[in-house]
Amino acid sequence: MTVSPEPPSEAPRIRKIRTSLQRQMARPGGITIEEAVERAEQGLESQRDRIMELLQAQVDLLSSLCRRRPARADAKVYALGSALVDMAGFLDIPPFYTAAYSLCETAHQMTAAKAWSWPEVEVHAHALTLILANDCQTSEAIEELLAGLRAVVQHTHQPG
Amino acid sequence: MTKTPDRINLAHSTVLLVDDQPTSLDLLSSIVQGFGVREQLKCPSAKDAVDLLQRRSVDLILVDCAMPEMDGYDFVRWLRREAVEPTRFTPVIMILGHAAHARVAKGRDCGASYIVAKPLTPSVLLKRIAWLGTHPRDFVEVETYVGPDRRVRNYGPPPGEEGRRSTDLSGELGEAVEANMDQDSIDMMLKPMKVNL
Repeated sequence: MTVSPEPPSEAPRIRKIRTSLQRQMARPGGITIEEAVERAEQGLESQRDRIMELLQAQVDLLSSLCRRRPARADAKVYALGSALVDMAGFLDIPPFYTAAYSLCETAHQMTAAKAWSWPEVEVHAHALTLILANDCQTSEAIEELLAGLRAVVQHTHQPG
Repeated sequence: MTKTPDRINLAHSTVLLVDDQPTSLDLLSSIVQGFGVREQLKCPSAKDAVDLLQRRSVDLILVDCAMPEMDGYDFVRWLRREAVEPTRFTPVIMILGHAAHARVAKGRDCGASYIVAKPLTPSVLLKRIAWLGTHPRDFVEVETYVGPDRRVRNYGPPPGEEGRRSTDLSGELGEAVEANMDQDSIDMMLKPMKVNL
């Protein structure tokens, strides 16, 4: 048996780079970190109402899908969940974000396992609707709701 | 390693934002505007961003990972391997929505400078930008990887900063948390011992 020699592996090239960002940020001036964060948070806050309306519209769309239960809707449900996570991820609304993330996990796992089940999606649509109705505030009831969603994710994650 | 500064100067910088979701692009734009950047450019797709970067350079790129056609990972791979210098060295912060562990590793391995998972707060994003501006990292080029040195985890976040990961190391040496071991205890640990197998 002949073994052909392995081609010589290329040595890593390591370079010290001073980026244009580093040069510019080193210039005097600028604003304090606190001021920058405060201004950015104000910018987000000014868009909050519009985003909440968009979240509501997306959740309504999800609920409508659950009622119609179309075939091969896994990608659509995941895309809806992902869009909810994307938008909610900019606002300080932890219960909604957690529920939307849970929807993504569930959809992802059911798709991977080729075991789609609408009730798991419905549970998330109900939870998201309730959380929105509760103005995305945390409460004991909402915590229980989120615990229920965690159980759904764990259930869908179980092999077989 | 220098401490993260208490001021930030982005008044001379151009930031490129890439996201296929118009709402997310608007929200990201609001944040960046608050940080006081001089100019921001928005692209609704990675392909548009590639076209733009072939014509001009920017100072920082914020890119969403999940996009149709060309996703954020492929975009960063193109940037690091095919873009001209100095564009290919541009710092990139990748933003993850539904962030499975494998996606974080994929983001690191495609050459992103930092990966930030949602929920995204201005404070977390600004810290990463400040680190990019003040803590240079070597640029590594090998057959299997092109991008900033990935061993940043070994060094931990800058002094005085807390990382987001539970396993993040500290950049500082703190006070000892327990008494020094005596030599007998050390010898006991190193001494060969007979064991029953």
